[in-house]
Amino acid sequence: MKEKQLSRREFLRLATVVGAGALAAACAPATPAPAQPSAGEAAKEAAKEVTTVTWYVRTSPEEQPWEKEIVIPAFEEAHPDIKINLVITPWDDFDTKMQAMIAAGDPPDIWSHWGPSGFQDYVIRGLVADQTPFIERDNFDLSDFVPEVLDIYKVEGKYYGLPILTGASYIFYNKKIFDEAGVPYPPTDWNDANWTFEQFLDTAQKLTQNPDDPTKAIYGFHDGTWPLDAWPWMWGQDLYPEEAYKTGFASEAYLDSPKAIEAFQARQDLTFKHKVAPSPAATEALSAGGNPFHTGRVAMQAIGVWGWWVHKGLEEQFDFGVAALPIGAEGRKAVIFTDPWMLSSKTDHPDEAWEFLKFLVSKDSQKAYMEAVGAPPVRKSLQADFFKLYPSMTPQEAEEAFIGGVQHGAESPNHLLVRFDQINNVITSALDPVMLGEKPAAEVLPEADKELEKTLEQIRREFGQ
Amino acid sequence: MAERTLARPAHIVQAVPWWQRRSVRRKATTIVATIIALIGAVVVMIPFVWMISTSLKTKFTALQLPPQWIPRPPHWENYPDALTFLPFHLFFRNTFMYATLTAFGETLSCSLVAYGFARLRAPGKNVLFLIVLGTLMLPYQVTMIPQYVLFKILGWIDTWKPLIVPTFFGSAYLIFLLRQFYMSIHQDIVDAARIDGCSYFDIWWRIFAPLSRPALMTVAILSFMYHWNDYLGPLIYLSTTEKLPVSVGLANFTAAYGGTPWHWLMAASVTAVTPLIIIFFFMQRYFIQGIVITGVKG
Repeated sequence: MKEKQLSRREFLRLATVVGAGALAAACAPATPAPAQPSAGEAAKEAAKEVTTVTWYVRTSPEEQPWEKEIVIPAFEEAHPDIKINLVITPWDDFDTKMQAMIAAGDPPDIWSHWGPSGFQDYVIRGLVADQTPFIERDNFDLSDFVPEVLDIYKVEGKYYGLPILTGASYIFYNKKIFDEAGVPYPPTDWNDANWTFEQFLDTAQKLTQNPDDPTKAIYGFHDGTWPLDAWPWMWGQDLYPEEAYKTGFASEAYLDSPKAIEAFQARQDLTFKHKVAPSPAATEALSAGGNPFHTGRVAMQAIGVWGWWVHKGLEEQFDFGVAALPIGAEGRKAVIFTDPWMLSSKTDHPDEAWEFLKFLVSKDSQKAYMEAVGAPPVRKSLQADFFKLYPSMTPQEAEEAFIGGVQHGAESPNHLLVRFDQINNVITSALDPVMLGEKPAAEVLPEADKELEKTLEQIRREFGQ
Repeated sequence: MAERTLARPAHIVQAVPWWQRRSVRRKATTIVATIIALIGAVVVMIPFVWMISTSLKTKFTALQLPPQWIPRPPHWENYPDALTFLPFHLFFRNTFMYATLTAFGETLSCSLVAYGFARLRAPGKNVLFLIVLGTLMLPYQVTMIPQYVLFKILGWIDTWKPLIVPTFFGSAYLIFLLRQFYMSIHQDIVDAARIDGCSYFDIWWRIFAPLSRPALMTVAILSFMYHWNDYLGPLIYLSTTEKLPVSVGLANFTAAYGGTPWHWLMAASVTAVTPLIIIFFFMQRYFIQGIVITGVKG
């Protein structure tokens, strides 16, 4: 290997040029580069004009087969001039990759808030297109959608996201444990005034066995709700003023209100005073392989909408039912989670992207999604089928509990508040002493409220609100 | 006492009690050490055994408490199921290609650069070296986005190029490691080679590379292992499923809300670590050497 040696001076000159170039590139503002078709596509384009639409989704062993084997083939067959580029990323890294794509001026054309960021985070950054013009142009029929759900992602009367799935938070209960203890099941009727928190606690106490021996314990209750707002909501207490859910910014917080203190104290007592819920360490052990409810050692679990699909197929192990959340106080609310498909405002081919989005929310796609994932549908015409998916409940039971939750709920703050991820981290760590049973809620929450309001103020300042 | 010793004939060696015999004591030490090592090994192995055990359960028996250590019946079908759910044969091919190419690229470039820093004289050499070391202070997350934009401009997104090409330009940590090793090579050998008409490049090729084989091996192994496990880079740059490495492929089993199928994830994980274990068995000597040289377990 004989090589012509670089003279030292030449080498240094080169190094400087290369270094400066790299530096310049690193500091240059992210201007979107014009989309350049790659060589492979150029050949195809010569034959036919093919547009690629990028569809960005989360990893999920249930959703991927639906995306790859059902939706994309069906759509591409119907639209030979559009190719779907499916990009899949785990929930935890969803925002990281999204951030890179946005910085490179190449965000996905269609996505949902399937990472730490929520709908409002994307809207405030101007990344979401208004779909109303498309809906009007194509006379797209929205009458089959549940109207309240459709309204969640309206901004100033315009549609910024069409829903994929929806559902509130519920109690799922293990019928086997109830039957063995001879305790009546909790009600599916959300208006049942007897289902108070006291009644719920009494039920949980009757079901709990050996709470101090993790190898033999049966717990009356496990709290699988998220975010922490779910607790004060059960007492009818919001943590933010009502307009925050419209504007995306909260002007103050009510973490120190008497009802919030009562709610979080009740949450602490379930574990440390009444011992009907597993301790943090026991919860850790129960969650080692996934959801604690699946271990068969939890009689009742409060959980968000994902309970419907995470518990699907559990009948192999034991029969389970679904019930209303208990009434902590007047005005109890359930947290609703609705996922929308968003259309990128930065897309180079809005028509093709909209064509695909329209296909995604069509009845056939939604039906296939519901069957593949077990997620509750947003179309009225599919609901009856959905309630038949659970062999251990009657369709009437499922329907009453499900619809009641949606009627008694409101959309989750994590989709409607800007930077909720940051807000939630502040609340979670501030409330740690309560959750770990170290201090009473009355002592912790006033301090936590101050901290939370500081964070809210910082977020408002950052966005010039 | 003294009388007794005198009374005994000198040629009779006093009998040492059995437990004080050297051979016995040596054996005892060995046995105790082995027992301690065994206890340590068991503790270290528990997660690994749990992984194998979980990989043979069903989605729901994986969650039982207390856990079943020996699943009955074992569900061997998890392996084909998990490995065909996603194209794992392609993932393995990609990972192997990626780890091998980058290990080669980094060993080659770092060795050359380190040689320059260790032996050649140039104005500002030390400043340059400090800048190279300075890049160690930057976490990848900071340079990730600007780098992504750069490669986007080059049109390299969703290819392996942004992950492989940079490794042919060295890595600060490994350059530092090799430079320290090269510093210890005697100047006399280099001088002799120069007098015999060796070019600088030849000196590196004929003297430094052979003499530093253990260090080069260490660098290659460190690089190989790092890229075998690399997750964030491939995650950001690659989108097409067929192009993914095993690390990102495994993450494709994870689902939000605790819906991860653990039995599949563990079956795929067991398969993923197996090649590394086999490599370790054959290259054990070099792995240990790497730890000795760097003081860091890779």
